[in-house]
Amino acid sequence: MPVEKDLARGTTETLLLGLLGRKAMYGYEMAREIEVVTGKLLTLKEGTLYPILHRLEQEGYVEAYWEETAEGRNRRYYRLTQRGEAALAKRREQWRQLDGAVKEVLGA
Amino acid sequence: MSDLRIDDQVRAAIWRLPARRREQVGQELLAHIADLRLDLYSQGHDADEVERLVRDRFGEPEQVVGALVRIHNGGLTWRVALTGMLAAIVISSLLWVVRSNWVSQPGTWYEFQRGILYAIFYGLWTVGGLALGQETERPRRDGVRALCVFLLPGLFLVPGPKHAIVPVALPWIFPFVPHTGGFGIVQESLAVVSVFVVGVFFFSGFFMGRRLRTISKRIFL
Repeated sequence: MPVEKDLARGTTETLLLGLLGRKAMYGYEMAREIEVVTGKLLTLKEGTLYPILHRLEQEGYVEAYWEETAEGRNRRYYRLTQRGEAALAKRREQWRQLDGAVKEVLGA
Repeated sequence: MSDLRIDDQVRAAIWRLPARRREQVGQELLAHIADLRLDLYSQGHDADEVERLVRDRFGEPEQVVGALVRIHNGGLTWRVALTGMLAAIVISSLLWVVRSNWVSQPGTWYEFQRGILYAIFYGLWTVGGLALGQETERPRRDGVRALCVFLLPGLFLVPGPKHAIVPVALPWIFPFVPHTGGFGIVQESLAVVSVFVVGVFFFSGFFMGRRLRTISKRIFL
């Protein structure tokens, strides 16, 4: 069952931090990885993905660098900074608390 | 939906970004599209199908870039505000000196007051207009932009501070409107405000951005 937009709203930034906590990725890779990991339950549109990535970069949570592919194309990779790692750890803890609280209320 | 290829639409849309961001964002989005295409080809789709799916999945480049513009455009800086206001006051004062001496009754106190009011009004007006659509990541060029915005309405056709130009440029016609006996300061003010309101509603916002960019694409691409 697809997740309602309102329910997923606000999680995108955390999801991106979570993905980048695994390894450095480029935008397209992140969009696909979200679909794979969540079994297409969550998708990231480009109009959502890049503004959030660029804002995270502006705020110092991620840093970007260019890397050339085997075919000679350039891709912009993103990786977490120390600040980003700290933010991710904090988000994980907050999510655990929220998850527990919502489960309590819903009786899930 | 536009007939342009999605790559060209991205190239056209990135002109709304601050200059130092355009190349990087353009390359990043085009790389994304290239990855998406390769992925779809590897899944066995034919060329037409791939283009359709790319457009479906990527979305409208105008909207994707629009969201990035909101991140990267920092709003009106004091430098733009100050330059715009000073330039507007100086130029409108000159216009009123010219008008007072050669067009209207020279040297009257009423004309002088009116000129001062207009000068202040144009200064505030210009800054307000700039605030609607200015991009400000290159402070050294902001002064030039602030001047160009109201001096050259032809910039209309260049994707840039899309909301600003009509509302900013329109009232500049007023110093050239012949002064007639029955048309006092209150009526003039009402006329100016009406033009402003109509201008803002009619030309600003998404409608204007879209229209201007469509015209720009036809001319420049």
